[in-house]
Amino acid sequence: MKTGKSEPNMHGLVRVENLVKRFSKTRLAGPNQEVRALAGVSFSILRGTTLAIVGESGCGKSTLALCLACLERPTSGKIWFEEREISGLHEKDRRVIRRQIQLIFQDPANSFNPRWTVLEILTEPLALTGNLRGEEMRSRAGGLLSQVGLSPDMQGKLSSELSGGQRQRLAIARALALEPKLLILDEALSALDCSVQAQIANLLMDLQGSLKMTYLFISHDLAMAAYLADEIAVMSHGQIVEQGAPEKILKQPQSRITRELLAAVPRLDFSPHRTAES
Amino acid sequence: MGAILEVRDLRVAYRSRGGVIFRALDGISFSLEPGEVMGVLGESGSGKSTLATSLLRLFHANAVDQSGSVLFQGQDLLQAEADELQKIRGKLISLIFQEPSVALHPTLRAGRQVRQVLAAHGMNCRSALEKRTREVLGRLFFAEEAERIARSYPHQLSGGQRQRVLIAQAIACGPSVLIADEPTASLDPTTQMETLGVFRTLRKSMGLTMIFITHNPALLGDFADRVLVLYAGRVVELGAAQDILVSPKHPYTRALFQSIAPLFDTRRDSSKKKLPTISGDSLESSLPVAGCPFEPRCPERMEICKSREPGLVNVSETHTVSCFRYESP
Repeated sequence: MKTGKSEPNMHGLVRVENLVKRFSKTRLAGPNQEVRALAGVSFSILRGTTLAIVGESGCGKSTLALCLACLERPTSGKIWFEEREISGLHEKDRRVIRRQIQLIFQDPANSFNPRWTVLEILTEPLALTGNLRGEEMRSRAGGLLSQVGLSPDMQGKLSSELSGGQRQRLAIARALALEPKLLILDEALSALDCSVQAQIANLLMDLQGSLKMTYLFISHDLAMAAYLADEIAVMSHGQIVEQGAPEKILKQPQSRITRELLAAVPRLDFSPHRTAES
Repeated sequence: MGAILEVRDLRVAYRSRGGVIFRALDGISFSLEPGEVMGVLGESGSGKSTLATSLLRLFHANAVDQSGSVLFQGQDLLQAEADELQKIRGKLISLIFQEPSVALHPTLRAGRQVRQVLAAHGMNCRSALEKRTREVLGRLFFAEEAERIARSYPHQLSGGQRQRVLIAQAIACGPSVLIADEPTASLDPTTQMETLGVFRTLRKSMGLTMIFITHNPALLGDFADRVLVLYAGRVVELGAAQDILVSPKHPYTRALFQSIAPLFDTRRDSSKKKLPTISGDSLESSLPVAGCPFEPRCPERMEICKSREPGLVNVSETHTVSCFRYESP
């Protein structure tokens, strides 16, 4: 899926080239310590597909998400979004890009104001950017809720009254409010129970089908990544160590880190696969 | 051999801010043999955390109704005197919580937090405290690492290390029962596996009796001896781990197992294949007043499920399930 040097890709929505991000850690005494969160990352994502970034904590996945979402500026390297280089843009232009790239985080409880109603949460992005009137906003909110499988009568509830799965659906609805082209899911399923994970994974697949969404799915769960993604990139120490189709990564893992991640996927131990192998 | 812990008809209810009574635990009974590991499987809202804390009579302030009994070596902890109970908590029965970053004090060094547990249970000789702390941390970390960990503050430790410090606190006094509430939920997969390994080792070396609470059945694999499946505060299935994990009987347990993404069955060969899910929302929403609590979401519901609540049925000597499907007519 990697494309040639700087040729614009016809179908690529996102292209990242040699992205580097360094943070300097301030210490009370002694010289500042430099942390290299991203050490030259390159990939591209085609429209309407899902790229999964898999790796352990601290491998740089979340920094990558922040750089792509225009919330951090990379130290060096380039990010093209719809054939436009966005990492060097002025703040004003980046703000416009941000609408088209939405982020969903791990803990939905932390991404909402607990005192706000579902309606307030959903209409905030619309109020900030659009010129919709009250009535239009309400009907749009209703539409968004049904899009993610929530009942429109939920509008008056507080986000703290929702269950974990409902909250994550609401986070998706809010992200969809601005009709983004790219959705970055940063460990968006990790905090949910198994059965709820499956529901949200199915919802993401439905939305991708109906809206032609493009996803960057960041996770440490290789099984879920394989299930959702068209392509998996395994990251370690700020670099992509292995990249390919899910089947290839699962069946012929090349790098040590991929094998470790595979071994760490908890499985029902008596499953036919495991017994057949052992 | 008699049971070390026996829970009989445990019930706990909470009053929500709106005044609605929510029955978090609704008649739980089970017993644990010494050295046994019981896996408790339940999703958010099933009452699993309430179960963990209730066994030590740590009730939430809005708990309105507690009944039943928790017999530990024959003594009912729900009736015990407060000071009596205080001697048991953390010493004979320890509890490990889910979130190590919250459970540890942020401004005290790890070693001191382990010493505090020992001191709270009557160890007051300074050199003995030092020695025992070193010993306990030495069980959980490599020798060269243990010293540094003891001197570190929680924020200087990784998630896995913090979880080990919590485990150190829990085993410091040499308990006989360990209750772990989702101890690996906040860890990444390789650390999760390592931490599970720690529990396995401790179980062997200390002969611990354990209650291991999780929402992920895959973690119980070759670890738990028995599995208890909790739904809406009730035991829906209880039996030997092999029985339940290999051939789950309750429709809820079966649906739960199917919803886990399989590792070697990738979709997108041609068409999009969906993960099987349990229909309806998780169980925090209102439950039916009469009948089986799983009935509204159950793919195999029958007429009778609406009106009556099923009792526990033995499907084998070691396996009971609460479902009318298995009741002999």
